[in-house]
Amino acid sequence: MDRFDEIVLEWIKTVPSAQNMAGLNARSDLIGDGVLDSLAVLDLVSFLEGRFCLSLPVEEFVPENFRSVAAIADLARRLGGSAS
Amino acid sequence: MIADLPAVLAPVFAPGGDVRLAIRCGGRSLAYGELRRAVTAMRAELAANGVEPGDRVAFSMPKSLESVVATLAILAAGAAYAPLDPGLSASQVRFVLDDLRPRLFIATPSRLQALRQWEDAHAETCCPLASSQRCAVVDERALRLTMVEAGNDGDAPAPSPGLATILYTSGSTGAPKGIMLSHANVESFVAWGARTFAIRSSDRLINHAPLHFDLSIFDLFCGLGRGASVHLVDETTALFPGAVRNLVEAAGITVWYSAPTALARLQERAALKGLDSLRLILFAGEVFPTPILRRLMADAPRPEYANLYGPTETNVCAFYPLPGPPASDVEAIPIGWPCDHTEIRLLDGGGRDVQGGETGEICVAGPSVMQGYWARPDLTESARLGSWRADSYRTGDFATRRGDGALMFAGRRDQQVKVRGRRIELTALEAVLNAHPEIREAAALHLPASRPGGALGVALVAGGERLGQGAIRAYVAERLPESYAPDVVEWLDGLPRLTNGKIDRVRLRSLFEPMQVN
Repeated sequence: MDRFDEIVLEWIKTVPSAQNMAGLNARSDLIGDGVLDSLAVLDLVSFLEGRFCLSLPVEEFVPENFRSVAAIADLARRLGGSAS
Repeated sequence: MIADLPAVLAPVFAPGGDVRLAIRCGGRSLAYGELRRAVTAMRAELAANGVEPGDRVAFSMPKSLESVVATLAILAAGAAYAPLDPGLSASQVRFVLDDLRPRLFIATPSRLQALRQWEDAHAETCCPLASSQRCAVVDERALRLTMVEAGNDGDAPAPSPGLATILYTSGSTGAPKGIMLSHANVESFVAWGARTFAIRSSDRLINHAPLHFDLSIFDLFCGLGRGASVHLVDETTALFPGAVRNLVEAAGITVWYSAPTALARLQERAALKGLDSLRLILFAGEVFPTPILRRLMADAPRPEYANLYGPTETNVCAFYPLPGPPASDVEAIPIGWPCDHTEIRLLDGGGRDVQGGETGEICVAGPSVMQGYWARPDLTESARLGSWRADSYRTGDFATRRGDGALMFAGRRDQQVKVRGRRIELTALEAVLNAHPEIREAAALHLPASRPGGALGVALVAGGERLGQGAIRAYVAERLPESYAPDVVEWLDGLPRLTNGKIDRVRLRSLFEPMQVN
């Protein structure tokens, strides 16, 4: 877990549907377990773009990049985001 | 060959074209020959397990080849299909099953398990479903049913002949209601849709709407009825604009039909830009904010666009083919002219036809109008305009007639509210806010509990800068009566939506008045 993972994990913990999930961690399946619904996805992308000062191109707005906290953190790093 | 095939399925079973693509979902697909065999086999399984013509069969499944095969097999068995919103909680599923009393309930293993757990936890207040309800699970990725519970045939539900489907409303304003559509209802709509939009075998239709939403009737039956292919957007893909874009591009989708929300979310990321296979984009279910539609039409200028209007109770009853992009962000999109199988009247409060440009309630009659609400003859009767026609429906929506006769939507009965004694048309406020360049989406709502006499709240999604409440109030007051200036302004990253794409006003209200909900 680096800073990106920590920031994303903290945010995911605030999603209502994640609050009853025991053992939520960087590898948890956010899509299969229903944490990300349509509103949460919009909120999350808005958060990522603001917090990491990045812009998400449409071709990266795909499920593979949002499967887990680790995948989302990878995406933020890959897009040149800043965790400072 | 299946005997007594319903007319809506006959073209799917017409000889020939065995290897042509029929349905695709995720990485899996069925050619027409495979689809016919799968439907025939599942129909036999249904019949072997007691499903007879006139029965009702409910199912709860995610978008999948199985969900389409089940739909067609239920129809082929002469029964009516009742697709449940996959987003329903176990207690809501239980409510619908108790209300509908289907011959059979088909679910995925996980959904049936969730229902059982809920029942176990509420064993004292409800009898176990197993005592009266026959259930089947569908083998995921195998196109087969597995019977798990035989149920109790001594308690067999009464048949409902002639019905094709029962679509349950979301229940956002009261208990869910089952809207009964007959084969004749579906056939008249499907014939109109396939003819009006010239659906042909070379078309590739997207199916974006869930199966419990009436939009899917167009995709499935106009598409398969004309020998075209239908490409299902599963629940996960629908969340991600990049994945939807990839699907449209890879499949070469030609016909798109969805709620405006789905198109707005794609437009936000310019996801349809440069996709030149699309020839037709249809939308229905809500007012499309004009600024977003204009941007969409700039991103994707090639397709023809049409606004389709009609509650589930009537299916599409009016439509407006756009002659081109609206000239400005404040231009409202008409709902257009009645379909050729439909008659529409605008009536005032006394039941008289309105004159000139006056506003009246939209009343619809014709062969696509529902048979009624399941087990609710009281509601059915009050929804009809008995003095006019037996196949009529009072929509609760209001419209005016433009000079050229095109109908202009003017809000819903339940969107006309009184705040501190003054009448507010929430749709009018939303339209004005949606036209603001810094506002991407707006929803207005009455907050009766916020202060004496109630308050007017607006939830906004920013397209740019988040304006202060003073600026919003001043902007509104310049364009509408002073009473329309909102008392409470909340900025959100997105509006909460129901699975059919419409704004979830219950959830939205809970953001403003958390203490008053639940």
